Amino acid sequence: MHTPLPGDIPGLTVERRDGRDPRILFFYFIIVVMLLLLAGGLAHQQLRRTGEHANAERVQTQRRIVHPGPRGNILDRHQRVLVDNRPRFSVRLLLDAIRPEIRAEELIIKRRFRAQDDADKPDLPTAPEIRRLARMSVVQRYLDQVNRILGRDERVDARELDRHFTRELLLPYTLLDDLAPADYARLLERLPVNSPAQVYTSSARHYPNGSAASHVLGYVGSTEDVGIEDFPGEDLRTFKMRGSVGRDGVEKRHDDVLQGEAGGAIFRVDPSGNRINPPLAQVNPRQGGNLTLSIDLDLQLAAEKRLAETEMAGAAVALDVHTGEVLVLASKPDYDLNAFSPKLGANAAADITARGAWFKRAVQGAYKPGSSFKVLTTIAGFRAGVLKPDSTVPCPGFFRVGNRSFACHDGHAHGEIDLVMAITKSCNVFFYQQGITIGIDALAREARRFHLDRPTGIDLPDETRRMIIPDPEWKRRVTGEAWQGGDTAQFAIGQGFVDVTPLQMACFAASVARDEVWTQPFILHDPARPRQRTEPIGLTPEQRAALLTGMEQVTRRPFGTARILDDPQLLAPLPGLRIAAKTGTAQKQTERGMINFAWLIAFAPIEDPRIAIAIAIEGDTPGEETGGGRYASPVAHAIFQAWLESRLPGARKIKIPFKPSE
Amino acid sequence: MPSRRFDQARPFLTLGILVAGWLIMPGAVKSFLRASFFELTAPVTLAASKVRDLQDFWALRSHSKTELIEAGRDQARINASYEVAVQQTTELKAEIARLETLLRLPSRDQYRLEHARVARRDFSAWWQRIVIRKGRDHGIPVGAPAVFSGGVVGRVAEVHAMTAVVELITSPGVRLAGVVEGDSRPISFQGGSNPAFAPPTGIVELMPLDIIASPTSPKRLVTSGYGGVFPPGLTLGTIVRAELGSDGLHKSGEVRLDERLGSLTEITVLVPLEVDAAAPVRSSP
Amino acid sequence: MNLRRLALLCAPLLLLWGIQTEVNHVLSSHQLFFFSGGLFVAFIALTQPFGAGLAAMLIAGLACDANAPVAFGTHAALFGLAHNIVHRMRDRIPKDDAVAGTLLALFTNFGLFLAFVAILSPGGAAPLPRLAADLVCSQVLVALAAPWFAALQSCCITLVETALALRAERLR
Repeated sequence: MHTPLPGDIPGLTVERRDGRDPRILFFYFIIVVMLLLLAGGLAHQQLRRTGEHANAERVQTQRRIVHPGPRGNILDRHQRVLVDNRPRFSVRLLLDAIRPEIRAEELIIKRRFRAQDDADKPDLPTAPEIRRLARMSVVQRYLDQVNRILGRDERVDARELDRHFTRELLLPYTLLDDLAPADYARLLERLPVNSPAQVYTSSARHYPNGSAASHVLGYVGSTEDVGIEDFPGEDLRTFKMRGSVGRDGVEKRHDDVLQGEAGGAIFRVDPSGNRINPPLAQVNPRQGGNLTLSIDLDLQLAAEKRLAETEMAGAAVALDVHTGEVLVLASKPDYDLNAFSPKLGANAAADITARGAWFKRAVQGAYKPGSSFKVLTTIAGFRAGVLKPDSTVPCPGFFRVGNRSFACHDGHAHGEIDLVMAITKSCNVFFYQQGITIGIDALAREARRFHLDRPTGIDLPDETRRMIIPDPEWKRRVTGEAWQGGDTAQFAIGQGFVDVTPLQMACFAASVARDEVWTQPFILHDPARPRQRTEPIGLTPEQRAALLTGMEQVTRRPFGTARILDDPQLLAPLPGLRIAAKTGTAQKQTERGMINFAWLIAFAPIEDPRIAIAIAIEGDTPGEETGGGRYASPVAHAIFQAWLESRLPGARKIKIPFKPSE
Repeated sequence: MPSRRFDQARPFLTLGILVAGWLIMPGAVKSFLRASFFELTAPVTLAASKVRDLQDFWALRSHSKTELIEAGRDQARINASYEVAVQQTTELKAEIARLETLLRLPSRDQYRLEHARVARRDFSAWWQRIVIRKGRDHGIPVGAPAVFSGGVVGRVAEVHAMTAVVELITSPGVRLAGVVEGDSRPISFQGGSNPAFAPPTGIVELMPLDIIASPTSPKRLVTSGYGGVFPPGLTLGTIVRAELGSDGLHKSGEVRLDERLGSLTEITVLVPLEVDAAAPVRSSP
Repeated sequence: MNLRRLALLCAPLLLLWGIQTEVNHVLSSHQLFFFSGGLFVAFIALTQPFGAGLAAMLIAGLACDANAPVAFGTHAALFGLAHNIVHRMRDRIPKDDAVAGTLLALFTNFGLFLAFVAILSPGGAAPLPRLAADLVCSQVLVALAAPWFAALQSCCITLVETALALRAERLR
């Protein structure tokens, strides 16, 4: 009950207190302290921790989207496109634009469930289930609209849709992918401009020449690891569109050059995670750098066409003698690169595996070089001083070393045969004899001098390291057996334990053409690349003349093993082109029987060598004579012919590709 | 005073209730109301258009006989050249028909031409439309393409009893698939911003990189025919600028459209024949 | 609400709509657009009872909506809102002053134009120079037409009120 205090005005209903009451003052004090604490806390939060709160708010309300940039193009040495990008059209649904529809659909679904008869009434689905049903229904509605325009009957993948809503809500949902131009044209014209379903473009690799140089170019695979430089918001939740990364070949080795610069955007999002347009920051993606390969498309196509006609596995390599730039690097069987774009299907992958087409024979295939190795034996003989340009050897058709007897090239006795004719006819007995006389150490040393014992170091991935230049120490280490005289004889004709790759033999041919011991191959084209200069082989002019005469006679009738090159009935003439060549036919014992490998190394023109070639073809039928002259020479002929044609004035139409600066 | 505050808020409350009621009103009712209001105002549009025609008629009547004789002579020359063109077209059509029969191809004559006077032009920053004096009674369907002597006009957006609304290609809401003349790759064309006192423009996107266009060497953009709405080869405009797009795969550019689109008085609607067969058709004048 | 009053209020609005469409027809060759929303709203909101004024606004708005590719009801809702705002302020505006009426029409037109920009160009995607040109053109034309349209409406309103007075007298 209120007791009137002195000073109270009668009738006043407002209670009056004396402010100097010590009890009240105590409470005032407590209140002031509490207010000060509150004010201090507020000041601490607002002034000292402003940055933290602002950052937390930013991280919570902003999202970053990263788009990969298109990869650069790959061009041949004459700027013709080997790989570029093709637009990939898809129709996508902007999820933030269909939010109201999904909410309305949720209400409709709830109402339908509630309206069902009691007997049939199932349990009302949970809120997430209703949401999922509503999403499905709305997205399918848009897909049906697209189906009507395109005359299709596509259905929404419920699992994929759920995954998208859970993980990639900010990104548009792809209704249909990889549309044909006619399809996207129809959609452009018939989808309303403001529809949430819109036609989008992304890039996929395009290979205008199909399988050409497939083992050189390589392929790309998709990746989520798309980085973006100098773009703010690294701490924000980031959604990345899938990019591509080189998985093989030049695409892999030079991925850093080809990779485009990613673009990005930062959006503010609502509490449900849907984005609010326009973006707060945006950077457009940029295309990666172009790469010019040393490959000459005309020569490559010619080589591949001829290799394919043999219907056997094989490889062809051609080098620019002066610079070491690779003009042709073909390997069969290969694969159509367009099968990898946008993604290699399981069936296509199985087919490639079944055909053995993953194997890059030009750089991974280690083969016995056969008689093409006799060029090295000749050089080794000259340098060891055991062989003279006019040396002769009697060929009875076989050669006996210890208890073993080795047959000559074609089983016939060549009689007294000199060096030029021994090279021309590929007389094994001559070179067995020379090999034994030279000795294994000098032979192996000479082979190593030409770098035949190590990878060439070409700027391509997966070059094999399985090449072998054997010697007694190697045999003891690997087989535990002692070196025999017969091993040396076999080595002298490129048989036995020796293994080299077609690329190595092409480098060897280029080196011999330049009269030097080493040619470094390059796959990237540099118009200013200087002429390679390495240690000279060290032959006298007479020795070199004998060697070249023998190699030229290989391509001449009537005795040359590659005389097919000089036969206008079989192959078109190569007017004015003097070719130095050496064929080879190596044997390899397999489970199916003895398989032949056809070889040919060559360079031309003899008077000023510009192009060096190595061809290796794997026989596919045991016991069949797969000779280098018959099988490898036509491939070399195709390359020489294309090379000659490319040198004619106005022969090549150079197509300048698009440059982004235009 | 609470009652006074309520009085002040009552107009807004009333409007709010009306708007809320409007929002929950069934779509069918709204569509009916919209059609009703359009038809209510349509006589005004038609009357104004007829008056304009009458005005033009009397303006033409004021020309002297000499002017009319000269105009008649010019017209006769033009007619003569058209006569030749018509004969050539007839021959070509006969040849096409013969080849179609021979190759068992479907006929390319897929449209009936319906000429219509423009009753009203309505060009804002957001839409560019014309109202024509033919509608459902003449068998004009929604979505039919409309053309004039300069190329494509647009697409029929609404059809009413005696009028139809055509959305022009200058409108940002119109998009179609075009091709550069002589090329076959489809390009996205969309009406662009239309600055005041300047010719209308459109934008092209998804243009292949090898297409180069500039004010000095413009490229003609025509309909592709892929979309299924417009027949191929109709002029859309000229691409006067092409720049690398943001995706690095395509070019984007600017299309200059025909200035006459802003002063159209008569257009031709291409009525698809299969639609025409189902629609009540009145013979065109 | 008296239907005759409503009809006589709507008649000048329909005429205004017709004139607006004809002006736009002429201006189309110059890529200009005339928007006269302020004229629709200002004089009725200034002089008429709330119910009749709002109904006239809604009817005129729906007529405009039917002839434009906007959500049906957009003009009606905006005209209604503008009418309510003007109606709320009308005690402070001299009704018979032509200059004040014209200024009110201009302000209302400006506000409605901005509202349309906000609705039809979300995210600031509007071509601003074009919109500026349209706004200037609209304001000039509204300023020119306002006195005439005010007089026309005033005549119609007088007609309405005379008719209503006569009717009331007859009934008495």
